[in-house]
Amino acid sequence: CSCLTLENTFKCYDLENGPTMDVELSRDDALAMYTQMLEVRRFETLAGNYYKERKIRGFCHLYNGQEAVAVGMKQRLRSCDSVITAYRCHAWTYLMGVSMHEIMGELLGVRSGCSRGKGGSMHMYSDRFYGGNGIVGAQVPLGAGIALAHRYRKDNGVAVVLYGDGAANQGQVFESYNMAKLWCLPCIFVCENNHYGMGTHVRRASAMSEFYMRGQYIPGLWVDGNQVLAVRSATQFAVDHALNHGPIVLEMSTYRYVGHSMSDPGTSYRSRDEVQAAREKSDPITSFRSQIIALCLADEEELKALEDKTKKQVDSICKKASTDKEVELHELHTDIYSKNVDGKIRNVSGFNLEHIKLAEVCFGKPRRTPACEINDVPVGAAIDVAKAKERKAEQEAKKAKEDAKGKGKGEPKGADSKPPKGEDGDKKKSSATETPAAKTPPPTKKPPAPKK
Amino acid sequence: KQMTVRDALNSALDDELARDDRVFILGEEVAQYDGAYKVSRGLWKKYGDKRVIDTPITEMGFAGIAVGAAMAGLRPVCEFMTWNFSMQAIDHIINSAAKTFYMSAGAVNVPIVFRGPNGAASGVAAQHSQCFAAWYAHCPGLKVISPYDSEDARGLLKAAIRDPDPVVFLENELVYGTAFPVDDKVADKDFVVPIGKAKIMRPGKDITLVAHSKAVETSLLAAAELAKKGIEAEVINLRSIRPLDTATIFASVRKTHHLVTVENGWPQHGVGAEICARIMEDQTFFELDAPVWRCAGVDVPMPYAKTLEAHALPRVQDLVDAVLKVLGGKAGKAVAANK
Repeated sequence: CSCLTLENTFKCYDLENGPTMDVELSRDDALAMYTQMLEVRRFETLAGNYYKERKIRGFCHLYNGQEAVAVGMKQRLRSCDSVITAYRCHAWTYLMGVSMHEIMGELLGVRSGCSRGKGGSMHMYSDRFYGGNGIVGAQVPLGAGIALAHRYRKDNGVAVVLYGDGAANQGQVFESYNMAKLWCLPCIFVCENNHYGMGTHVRRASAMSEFYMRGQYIPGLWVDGNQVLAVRSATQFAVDHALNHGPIVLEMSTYRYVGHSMSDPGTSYRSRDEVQAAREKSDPITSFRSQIIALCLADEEELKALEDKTKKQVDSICKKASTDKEVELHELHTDIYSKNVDGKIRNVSGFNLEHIKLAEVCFGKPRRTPACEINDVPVGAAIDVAKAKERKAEQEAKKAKEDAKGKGKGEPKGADSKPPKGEDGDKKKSSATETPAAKTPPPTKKPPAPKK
Repeated sequence: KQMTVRDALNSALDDELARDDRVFILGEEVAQYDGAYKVSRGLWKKYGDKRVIDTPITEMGFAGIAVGAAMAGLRPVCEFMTWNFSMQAIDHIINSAAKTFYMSAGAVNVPIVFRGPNGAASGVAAQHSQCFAAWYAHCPGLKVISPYDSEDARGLLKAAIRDPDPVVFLENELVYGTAFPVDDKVADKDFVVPIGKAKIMRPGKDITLVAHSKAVETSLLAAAELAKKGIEAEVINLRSIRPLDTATIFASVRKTHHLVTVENGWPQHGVGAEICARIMEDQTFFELDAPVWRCAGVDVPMPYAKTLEAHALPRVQDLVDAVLKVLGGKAGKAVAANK
């Protein structure tokens, strides 16, 4: 473990004390974070290449240059905390537990995709990760709602809500600030300020560009978002603050090297020199690399080997994903409702598509809709089916009883010698006939406790 | 036994709050004020701040918060003071609630109910008098319910709260205070009405009237009026707009061979228009003896003045006229036979 002191990394707003400036860094943590940043950078580079080869379609927003924010924050989030972010979500999806294979699969629209080719670049989900969101700013109230759920359940979790400097001007961001403060929600608002909302520089979009002060009545913290250790320290501080005092706004100052999305070369509104200067002066990966070496946590050779290994690994994973088969056509009409009560789904012409439910069988990682929630009330045809089953079970039970009685009368001696056998048979029969009805419990039954 | 629609809704909320501790209500004035229309009366006193939450006037914000809480496993009931204000929040109803289950390949479901009064109220003019049934029924991923009487309101709201998908629940302010006769079973705490099933309110053999919400009342009155002329109209209360119970409509048309649709919303791309299209795409089309006719709100923004307002919505006489027109010669014979 090594110790170092952070410099010029924080500015406080309405806070008595900021995060600790003296931080410890273990060799394991250092290498873990360094590897993650390398993986994310390499992944995004490959995604960009696939896009140029037209293997990836539509929108594709890359994270190059902003890696320290996601990697640093994830280091200090606990397993009970939730995250929701905007459309630039590949890095967060990976850090929240989806494999690179599944993410690349989703970008390529193949079977292994984590959203089965239904989401694409902006819509990927995982356990306690509520996605990218394609609507600028819409994830902010959603995240406040997730924070409300944490407080409602008293599960000690916090919700991390990330948005860009462009989204920071959306009205719903301020609506969310207001309610988060009123209700003291354990919510960390994180403005990832990469200085451009699409092609508009912050100075042309925001009357006040100190985003950490924009919560007005919510304390804020400016963080050098290119320094992974500063991000990590700020996150620890924010989690403690959110749990004890309610919401906080973090502004992570960072820079994106690539265009807004793949269709933006990123050169008309800023100079190549500006991008080059950012790469040279404040790249999160190279600056962390020199820190690791300065602290003698690893040597040049070791890091070089790590870089080569990571690059090879990411390359082979992505290459593998690119050979996966396309999503099958029938998945077009899967999982529109978690409980479909409509008959058929309308095709281009005519109602002839069956609603298919893949959620329970297709993949295990994201939170499945628990079966108990889907079946707790029989609705529509299910009511008739449940009733018919109940009736049938009753009739059969009755019949079985009568049969047993008849037997008892017909063979008094036999009944005398083995009465328990007849009863056993009865029980078995009735319980066997009752099971199917029990699968769709009648409305009188209380639903099982939520498994979340 | 009588029950007002307001009590039906109130008791449904009460039952579900008691049944499932993940259920909570949020919206403007739902708690301390007892609800702008008193639908949530007494619930804050009974369940407290945690379960019944007053929000500021900030539709987009609180609708988003409700959807976020639903994604995280709670079961919010999000009240819009009226559905007119839901347009401030429509992005969260459609982009955040309706589409997420599909986009996430079934990983994240959104068990939420959006509810509130919908359609024309009295004397509140264009911005506060509008039916959203067709708007929301357009979107896959949503279930859209429009109850008429107390049985509908209670049974469907309970089913909606228990449903694992986002449900748009369109009430009507004008019937909140109306008492309807109800069976004892309706008061049972496990009474639910299935989503997606229509109800035949009045059987008949000559013509079918299909309506939802307050238009069911107009249709029933028109049916009574027609009965005096010897015409037996069958009145169908749709209950669910999406999914649409076409089976019940088709069965009725196979019996009556004539159909008039009735709604208080605008005609273009409306509920009636959809029913017409569904019939034309089905064998039932060949059962029709005359073209289907639509009775809908006049194609104008709602005016304020009393007489103008009354004429902007289908009235009993409009329905009677439409039915006679559709029945044509057959109607004349029926009237003659009656005399």
